[in-house]
Amino acid sequence: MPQIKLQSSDGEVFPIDVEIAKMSTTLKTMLEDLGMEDDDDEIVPLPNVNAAILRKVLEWCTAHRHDPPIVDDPNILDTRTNNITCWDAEFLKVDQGTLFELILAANYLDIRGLLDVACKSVATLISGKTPEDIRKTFNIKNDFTPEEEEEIRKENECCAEK
Amino acid sequence: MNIMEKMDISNVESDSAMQTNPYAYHILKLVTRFLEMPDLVACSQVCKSWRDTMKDPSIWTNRALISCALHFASTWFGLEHCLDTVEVYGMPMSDEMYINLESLKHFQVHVHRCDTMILYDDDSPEELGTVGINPSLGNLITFIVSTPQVIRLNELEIMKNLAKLYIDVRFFHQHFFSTSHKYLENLWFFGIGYTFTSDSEVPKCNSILAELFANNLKNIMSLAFRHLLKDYQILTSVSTLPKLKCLELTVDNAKNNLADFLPFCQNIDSLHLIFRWPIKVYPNVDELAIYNGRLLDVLSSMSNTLKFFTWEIDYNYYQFISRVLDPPVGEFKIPFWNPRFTGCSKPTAIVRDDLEGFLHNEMPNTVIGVKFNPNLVKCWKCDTTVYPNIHGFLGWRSAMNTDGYDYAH
Repeated sequence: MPQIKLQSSDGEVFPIDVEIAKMSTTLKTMLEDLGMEDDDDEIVPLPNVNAAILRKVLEWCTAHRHDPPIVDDPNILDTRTNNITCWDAEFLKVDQGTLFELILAANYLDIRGLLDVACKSVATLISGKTPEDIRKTFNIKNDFTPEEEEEIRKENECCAEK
Repeated sequence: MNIMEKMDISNVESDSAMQTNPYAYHILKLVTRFLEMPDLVACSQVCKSWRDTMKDPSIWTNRALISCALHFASTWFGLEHCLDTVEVYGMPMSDEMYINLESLKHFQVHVHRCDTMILYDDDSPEELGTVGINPSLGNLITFIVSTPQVIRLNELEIMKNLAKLYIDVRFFHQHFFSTSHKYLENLWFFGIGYTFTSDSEVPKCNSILAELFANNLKNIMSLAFRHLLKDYQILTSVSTLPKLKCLELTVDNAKNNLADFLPFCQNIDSLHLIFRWPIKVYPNVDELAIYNGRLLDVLSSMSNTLKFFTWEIDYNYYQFISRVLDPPVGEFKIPFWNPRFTGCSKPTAIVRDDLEGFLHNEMPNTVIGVKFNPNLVKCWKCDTTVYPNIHGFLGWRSAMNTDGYDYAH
């Protein structure tokens, strides 16, 4: 099995199977464009991903290496948030900071399956909640001015009207 | 298992990762794909940066702007061009509202305090009046409830091609139809709202409607009376519509009894009844029972012609009948029903899956109700075919019994 080496932003090098690396559309394109597939010594730097997150990403990719490819059709985008598998749910039992880093890494590396499942897990934290609940969940400070508060109050008034 | 139980990431951390992460806006944008409309609105009300993030048009692209998201088209001009559906309810409008029709396929507005409403085609915005609506909008549904002083639809030249129209009866006061109803000949669907009509205005509105029915709406096949109807007298005029097959009615607190007027609708083969605001309408169970008993009598007399019947209830009404029905229909949840919006009486927010066991006939999407086929009426409880007539279909067991019907089997 051919391998390549990925280097995290903090310098750690991860040798991985090309097959797994290609789950990242970004890496796949890069490998194909640069013809790097046969070159074992080449190190691909990933300046946007640190070692801890890259390790998580690779863990996910390894576990999902046999998944069928996701068809990218906005019309059939699976927007359900209740279909996260047990493995993924366990995998995503991380603090919010890590979860957000994972989303960014998955987005950067273009790993659609990981991106979707991580976004879904954040969506479940938002879904059905009031703005105040959302603030509590993410520990966000309400920094609206009184004018903006008034604007929002009006928005909600209209909702209640109907 | 609930996803929240499986995932232990809901704990509040001491530092807000969402606020310290420099790419928080990007994360939020990515997540919005998995959020429902009410959640998007909630997100826009969390903090400044979230609100700014939510103004990104791409988040709203290809989404239906529905009742609770109403605010955005009015104050965040520039978003509407990416919507393919606009349904706006109760929006405090700025003086002028522009809707860019570039991608619009469906438009439903229900506004007040709007002085001017201009629909325009982006190709030639100068010709607001003459272009109006692009030809592909043959199926445009406009439901305009308010008193805008100007509706620049070129005095409805565009109405020529209009197939469906929803409009508020108050417009009849305003010159609108007096000059334009001649253009309505291609309409086959006509929806009428009475939302902001005062009781004293109803007779006048009804007489204008009656005139329309008699002279200009010969091709109407489908007619919907939405929101408060207030007076079923108008149904006597409906009988003049030769092609009318489908009727939708809101059962409300009209002074007279619907049962007295339904027989005028002899050609109807599809009937859709919407029950709203029950507490106000039926102060007690006995009245409900009598009312429904009478209604069923009429439906029964129509059973030879009626091929399709649906009924629709809102959340309040459901709560009400769940107390009336015996046995109780059991616990039900409305997962997408945002508690902030319980003021909405849009039944579309009630998810029918959660009512299985209540009425398990196949139901039309977004409607709690039963399809009615007089030859095949299913019991609401056990799915066996019961009465080959209309009486069995509603499952109003308590109600029926008090009115002398026997629905036990």
